[in-house]
Amino acid sequence: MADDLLTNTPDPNTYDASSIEVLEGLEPVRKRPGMYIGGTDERALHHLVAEVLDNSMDEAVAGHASRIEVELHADFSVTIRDNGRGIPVDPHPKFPGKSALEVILCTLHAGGKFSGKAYQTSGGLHGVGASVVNALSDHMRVEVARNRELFVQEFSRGIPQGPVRSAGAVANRRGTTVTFHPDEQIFGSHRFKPARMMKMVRSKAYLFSGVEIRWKSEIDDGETPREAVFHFPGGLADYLRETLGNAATYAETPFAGKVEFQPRFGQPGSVEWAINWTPARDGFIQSYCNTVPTPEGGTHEAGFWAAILKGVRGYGELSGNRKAANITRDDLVSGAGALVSCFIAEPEFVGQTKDRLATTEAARMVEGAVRDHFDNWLAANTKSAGAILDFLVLRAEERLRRRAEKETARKTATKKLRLPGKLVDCSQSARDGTELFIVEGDSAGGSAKMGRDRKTQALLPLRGKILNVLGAASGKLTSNAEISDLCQALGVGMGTKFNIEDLRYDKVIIMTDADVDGAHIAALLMTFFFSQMRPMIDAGHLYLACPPLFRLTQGARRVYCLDEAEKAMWMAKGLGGRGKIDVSRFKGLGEMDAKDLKETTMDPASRKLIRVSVDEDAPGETGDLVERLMGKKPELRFQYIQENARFVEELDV
Amino acid sequence: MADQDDTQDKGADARQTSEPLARAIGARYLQYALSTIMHRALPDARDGLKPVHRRILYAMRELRLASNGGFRKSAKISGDVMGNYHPHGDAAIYDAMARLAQDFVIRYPLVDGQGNFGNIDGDNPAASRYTEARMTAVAEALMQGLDENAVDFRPNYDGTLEEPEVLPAAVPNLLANGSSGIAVGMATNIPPHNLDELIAACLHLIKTPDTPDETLLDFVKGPDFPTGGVIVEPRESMVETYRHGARCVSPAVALGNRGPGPWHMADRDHGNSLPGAEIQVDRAAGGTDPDQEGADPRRCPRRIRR
Repeated sequence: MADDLLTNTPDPNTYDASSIEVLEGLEPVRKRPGMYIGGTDERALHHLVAEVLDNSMDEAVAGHASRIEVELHADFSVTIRDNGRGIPVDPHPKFPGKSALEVILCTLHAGGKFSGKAYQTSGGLHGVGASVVNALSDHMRVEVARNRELFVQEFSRGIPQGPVRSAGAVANRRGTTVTFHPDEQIFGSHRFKPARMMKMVRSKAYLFSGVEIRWKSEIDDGETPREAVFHFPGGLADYLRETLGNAATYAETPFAGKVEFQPRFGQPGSVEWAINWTPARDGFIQSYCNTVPTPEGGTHEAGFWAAILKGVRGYGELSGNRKAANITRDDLVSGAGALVSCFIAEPEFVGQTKDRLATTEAARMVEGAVRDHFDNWLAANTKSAGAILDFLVLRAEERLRRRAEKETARKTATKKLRLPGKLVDCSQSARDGTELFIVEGDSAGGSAKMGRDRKTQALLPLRGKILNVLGAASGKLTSNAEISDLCQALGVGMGTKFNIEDLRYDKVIIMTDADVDGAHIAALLMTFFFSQMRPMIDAGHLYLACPPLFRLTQGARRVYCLDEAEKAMWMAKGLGGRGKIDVSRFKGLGEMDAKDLKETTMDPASRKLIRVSVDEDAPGETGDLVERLMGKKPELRFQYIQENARFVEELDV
Repeated sequence: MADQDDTQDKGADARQTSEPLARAIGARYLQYALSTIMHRALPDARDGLKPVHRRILYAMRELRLASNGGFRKSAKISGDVMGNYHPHGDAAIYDAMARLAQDFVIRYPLVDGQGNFGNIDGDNPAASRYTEARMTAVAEALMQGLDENAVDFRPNYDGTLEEPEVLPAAVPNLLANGSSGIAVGMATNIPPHNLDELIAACLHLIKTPDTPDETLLDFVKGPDFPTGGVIVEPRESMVETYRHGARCVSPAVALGNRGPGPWHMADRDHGNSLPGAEIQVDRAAGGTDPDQEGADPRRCPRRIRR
């Protein structure tokens, strides 16, 4: 073993310093295109066009170009031409012998968009776009018309096919023309789709109203026009109007506008937006930053929605519509068609494909800029504002209702499981013949649980004294845990919400200890049932259990007596055992074994049960008495005690 | 048909009777109310003790925890009280006993506690397995004469032992220590008084049994709270209070500073506690709401802090 490990056999797969490679120039782009354009699929292919077009757009946004031409050729190569300043062609100071054009196109992270000197806001920011396109094209030709001279350079797969050469003087022309043909080694059989390209080109034209984009295609897919000119002085408002077509909208004209950041935030940039709400289709938002589409949104979108949401809520408050406070961003988005385009210096994107804007500043600036305009617009267009607000409130209500329904549905589904945890339910689900024993405390609960007939007898132990419902405020009543447990176990509501059909048990039996506190709890429970569940008593569902008061023991014989009379009888007769009869007075149910409890108190065959009834002759009297004893006036209680104290013979200690 | 079903169904129960709700509630409530009034929340006028306190003291005597003897664990005492005389929760018994040991609550403590029995800041006593207790001389005085059969005895709850119905009470405990309790339909709230003053008044009463109330107030000038304090109530008002036995005296106790006032009582030192006092009388008995027992223990006694 050790020998094997130590034997140093030369291995062809040795991993040492020589196996560490460094990719130079544009090599990494060709080796790992995914990192630069997000893959090698059709989307990535079209991204090449976007990269080049974005460069031209940056030139246009910067105010140097007014016209961009995009041509799709029959061999699936693309030409993009602008009338901007043209890529510089003079020798680069840092790379002697190379022109700036070659540096830009053949070096990653080379470009004029890092310092903000040549461009204030730009879609390009990494300096890799043009070089990546170059690296992934089997043929690329760049023409630069600058200083009345035309310069040409050609490349193949990122490698210059010769230095920049002058192609003579040009009088009436300036700008950059890029023609490239994607490398089939990279993209395989994917081809440019005219429809997709034209859509992208058109959206670019909307984003910057100062540019005219001419589209020409030599490939006919049957639906895309071969030639078109896109120029939208109305900007995003035009775009939105076109997208929504003839769909009905809540605002007569979209809320649209454009704000420069400079005067307000002291930073270059601007935001342009257009939004309208329509019942006709699902909501959508398209956002752009420096003309680069950001399908996953980002900070500028967040800022925009924040402004709209605050505006809508504020307007709701102003117009006295309280429900407006319920509106959330989701409600806004779901029925809105929105376009947001912002231009900011040094944008931060997530990744080179720029799917999401990450510049935190953008949220603040967009929100600030849009908010004021939106407030003004709402105030000025009251009709539209009212319609929008009504629509949004409706959506919010609908959402809340849906959620409430969902929650109720869940509640109903698990209703059986929502019985109080203390309840020991019986196995029979039909009501007939079932009994619920309300026992006092856990010490009685245990033996009662063992002594019950689990098929029909359920058990609910209560803790301590329950609330005196007549002495308490109604708010206290509903929030009381014992009371709500009791209601849940019974399956009924209180007061007017009581429905006897919902009662889950046939007999509700109060089984409290035979001491004074047990008597008190029984009285409190009866008061509760009388005041809150009266029909239950009327229908004869309420019972009192009669636990025995005495246990007589004589030798091995044992007898339980329910009352004094029975005790006296046994005392006289004798139990049949030996020795003297031992009498013990029961106090708690917990004193009895489960077997004894079952026999004396719970088993229907041998127990005694008292049905509580309301005296039909004098129903008012019962209410009076209950009020007197349990109500809020102690004087009445005192009076009652004084009047009746002499009737109480035996008193507990 | 339905009737028949009904009887059949109910027939399953061997002995079923029916009772009108009014009677069912009335009987049970009365039972509870009288028991609470007579055997729980209110003190006996003769010895000023509620049953639980009397049983604690008697059980301690049975354990021979004399004021000059040794201590025993509180758990042992409360266990004996529960097992022999008082069939209720042991925690309640220990709480009652601990209160008797708190010199900031009880003017003349009946229990001499060893260990943490709580303080005036409201901290609870240590658990009963930690603390120890014995009687105080006052407690012994309350029970003087038991051996001489001065009072009647009755069987305990299970008939195995006997307990005194009332203690001989050589000390006027009801007035000395005061008492407060809420029963059903009635409640009590008696402030503590100075024992010297009480005995002087007693001696006077023995000599001249028909002494008017006002004269008695020359001996007993007013309440004497364990935490001390100054009563700023004018004498006429105090006379009224004692004559009716049910008056609000709550503003009568000025706390903390010993300012000038008609009556000036000893200011006892209670360690580092706040300059505060226990107002034993918040709302005197009648009139207000002496609801059921345990309705709102915060209502009295109320502690005021500065």
